[in-house]
Amino acid sequence: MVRLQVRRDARRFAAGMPGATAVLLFFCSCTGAIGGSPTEGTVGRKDALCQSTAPSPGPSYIRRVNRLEYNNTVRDLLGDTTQPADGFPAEEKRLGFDNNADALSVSPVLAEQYMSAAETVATAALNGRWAALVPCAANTTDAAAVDACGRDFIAKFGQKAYRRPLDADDSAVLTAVFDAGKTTDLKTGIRLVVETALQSPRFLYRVEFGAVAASGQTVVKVDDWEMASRLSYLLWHSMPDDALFTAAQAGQLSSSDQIQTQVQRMIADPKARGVTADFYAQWLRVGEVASAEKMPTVFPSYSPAIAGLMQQETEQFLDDVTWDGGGDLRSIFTAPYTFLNGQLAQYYGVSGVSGTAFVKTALDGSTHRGGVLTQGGLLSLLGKANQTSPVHRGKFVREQMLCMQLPPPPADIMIKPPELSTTLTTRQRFTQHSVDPACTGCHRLMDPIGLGFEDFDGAGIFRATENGQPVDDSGLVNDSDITGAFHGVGELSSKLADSAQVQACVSTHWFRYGYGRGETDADSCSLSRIKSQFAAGGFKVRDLMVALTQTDAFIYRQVTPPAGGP
Amino acid sequence: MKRFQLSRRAVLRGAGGVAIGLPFLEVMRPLGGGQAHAAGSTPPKRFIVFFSPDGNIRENWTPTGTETNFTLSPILAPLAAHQADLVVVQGVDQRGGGGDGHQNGMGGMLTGQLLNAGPFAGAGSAPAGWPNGPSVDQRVAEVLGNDTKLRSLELGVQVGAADNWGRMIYRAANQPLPPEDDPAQVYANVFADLHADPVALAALRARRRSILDTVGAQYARIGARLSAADRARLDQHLTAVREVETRLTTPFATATAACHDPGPAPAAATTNNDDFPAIGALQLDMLVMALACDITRVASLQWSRSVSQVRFTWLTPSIPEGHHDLSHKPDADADAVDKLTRINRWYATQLATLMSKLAAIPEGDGTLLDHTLILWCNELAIGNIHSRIDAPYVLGGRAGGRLATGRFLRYAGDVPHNNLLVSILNAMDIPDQRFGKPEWCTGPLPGLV
Repeated sequence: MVRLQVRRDARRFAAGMPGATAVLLFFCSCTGAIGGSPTEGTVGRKDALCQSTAPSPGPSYIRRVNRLEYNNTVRDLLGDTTQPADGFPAEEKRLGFDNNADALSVSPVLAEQYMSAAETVATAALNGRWAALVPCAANTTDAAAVDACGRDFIAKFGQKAYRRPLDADDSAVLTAVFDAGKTTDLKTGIRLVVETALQSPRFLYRVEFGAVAASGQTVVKVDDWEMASRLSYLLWHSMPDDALFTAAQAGQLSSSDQIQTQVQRMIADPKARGVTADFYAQWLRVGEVASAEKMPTVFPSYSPAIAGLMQQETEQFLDDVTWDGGGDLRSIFTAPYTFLNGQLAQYYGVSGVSGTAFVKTALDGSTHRGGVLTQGGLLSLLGKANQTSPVHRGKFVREQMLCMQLPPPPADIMIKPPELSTTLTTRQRFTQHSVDPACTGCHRLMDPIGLGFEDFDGAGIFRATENGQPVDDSGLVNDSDITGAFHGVGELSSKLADSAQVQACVSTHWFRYGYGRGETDADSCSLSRIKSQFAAGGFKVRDLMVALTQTDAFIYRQVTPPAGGP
Repeated sequence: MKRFQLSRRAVLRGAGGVAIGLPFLEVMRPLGGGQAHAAGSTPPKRFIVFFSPDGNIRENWTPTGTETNFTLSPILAPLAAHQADLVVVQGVDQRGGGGDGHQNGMGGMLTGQLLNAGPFAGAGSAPAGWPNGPSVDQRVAEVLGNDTKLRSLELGVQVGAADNWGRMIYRAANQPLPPEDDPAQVYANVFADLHADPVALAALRARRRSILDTVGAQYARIGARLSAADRARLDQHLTAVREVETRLTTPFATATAACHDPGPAPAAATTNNDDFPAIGALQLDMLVMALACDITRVASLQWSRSVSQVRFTWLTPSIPEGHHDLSHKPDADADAVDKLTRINRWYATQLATLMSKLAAIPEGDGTLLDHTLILWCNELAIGNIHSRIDAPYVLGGRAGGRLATGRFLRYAGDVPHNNLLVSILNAMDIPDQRFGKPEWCTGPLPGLV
């Protein structure tokens, strides 16, 4: 019999192949153990060795701004808060996130939407904020004054929009556009400059060439302007602010200390909270909670309104715990409080909360809750429309927390979920998975975890009985560094919070999210550094974000030969 | 034939040798009115893909009778009023591969290609990506799509995520074209011409072309300085920009007797299950009017996606279960068979509505339906075993007379659906003899066109 394994997620990529998609190259079924020891990360080398070797940054690809980044960037560049990118096509998710460079392709539909968004945004900005954006009066007609105004605007606006000083070609293009438009009037000239800039690759992509490489050099630092954008898009999902631009202009974004000064300032800015919120929306699928649908016949008190409140609860909780509370992984999993309003508290059966505003609410033992996994949002998202789903709950823990990629069910079997029953418990119905050899290999990795969630029904309500029988909340995590039995989600959460495997997994997710790509062999020292800095501060998310700015992958880039002219 | 052209295209040579196309605000000669095809000339042909998901119930789909004298099945019965405009095709096998059953069907259905390796892990298969070639409608668009504002129009009804379970239209290998799920967006993008002043519109288009021309040059210039992998990313963007630019040279739509403003959609589309029929109805209106106005000649309407979990709560009696869950019930489950039959009949009703709307628009010496070819397809033949053998295809409309309709065609043996796709091309006057993966295709289906 072939010994089959579940490998750790994404160990291998088709790294750096021109035009290649990073593809998971393994495929397997699961009747055996996990490859490698559970606590082993993707890192083989020790920190000490990493420090003595030459910088190894891994590949860095040109990255298009995604919808969130586009919205934030036009907000910071032009004061536009209409979120014009919300109507653009949704990004394809790769490795769990919607900002992967490989997946951000451009269709004619998107190109057309960039065009119309540029027109709308430019018109609105110049109508509403002319004085803040343009260095002369809108009714200027004197030819020399118009020219001077245009050139001044192009240099200043262009540098902000392109996030670096314009080169001669950039400048010539925008000047020619302005000159063509000014034949109508100054305002038209300025507007066409903005429209053109907002469709330029310098704006829509983070174009990097790195510092000038000496002959034979294969790795260079990114230049200071590029560093400003790397920092701002990593920590704010937006363009650099004036302080970053000033630092870049002064050549003060090169040394580790200079970078860290900026990082400390940036991470204290509320814009950094938007980044963790977006990360959680995708890693923990919090962004999907509000759209989970349930059958009213089975869950009569559940409604779209409740689903929306549950999403808000989890979003507020994660924001608070990350930035105002403990800030560490353990708090995310176990903090004994949440955020409720009157309607949601009533839904959960928690007393003492009223009104529409969400308030921080302490949770005692009687609520059976504490930590993100015990909140109604994830519990219902990971349930079916008419029942719980031990499979989905277990799979979520296995994949998102433990970073194990589970293979799909075998081909050519008819998948028959256990029939609903009015007498059996869910646990009893799911025994098939632990009996049928076609199922047990993988389902032993999912169902025993998910069955430990049975205290909560498919819509996130605590229950002591199911179909008249007492609920058994015993669960089992196997094939991991926290192998062992547990009772209920609370106990599982506590185990997860202490798991080195979970800590490494979260680091890996942040690497992929922060850098917009999968990790490669060349990134082993960068990843190792991220993990040790995460550990050093007691697994605080904020430390993890800071750590992402201190790696070879972040500070350096590979020197790549240009492809050449068209 | 182009109805108008930019009257001149001066070139400004700016500093640094950058060429910029003018005129920016030069007013071009506006259209005299009417559609791109002049009155009295032969109307152009149109092609529509109509997709519904999750397989079918064969015994309730298959008509009975002979080629020209047949009785529609329970599922196809809503199409009775249009039976003379139908060709029901049975016995064709939908090829595909590379991923799971749904993925293979979805990606192979219109391309006749395998899926390349990729990031989407399906049930019981290696992770798969996008198919290795264009979809048949895009081949049609290559020929028919050059004189219209839009080369093709992709509409969806609650399609959602950008994965290979949810994409069926491909511009080329690995290039999915996403459908627009929001009728309000469709209205804004497609019908803007109808409520704009022609002179102002001409000026706007000239300005847009100039800017896109300028922007495109930047993509080429910067791309040349990047690595090959990054260069490919910018090249793809440049291609998209150039395509938008080209569209801006086509005649723009003006209102006529047949072409009128469909009116804005009442609200943005939602993902609420029960809004599915209402959104679909709006998209049908947009689709028909886009064809009537000759804004495009190639369109698709994608209802949901493969593995669709739409709950048909609006049917009587209501169906509370998700479609895909139902589709995996065993053949012996009479309740599931009944529900799946009613679901597929509902989709047939939507196709009948589409055909009625097309038939209500006079064009040339017939109707818009006469000049249209519709392909109704499904990513699976049978849901519970993911079979794509003997897949359910229905053709509607006469393709300008190339398709003899009112027929029920049965094919036996190993008949790859690539051959059906070739016949569709032939019906659209494209004389290709092969489509999709060459090893699968042996030529047009005999007796169809």
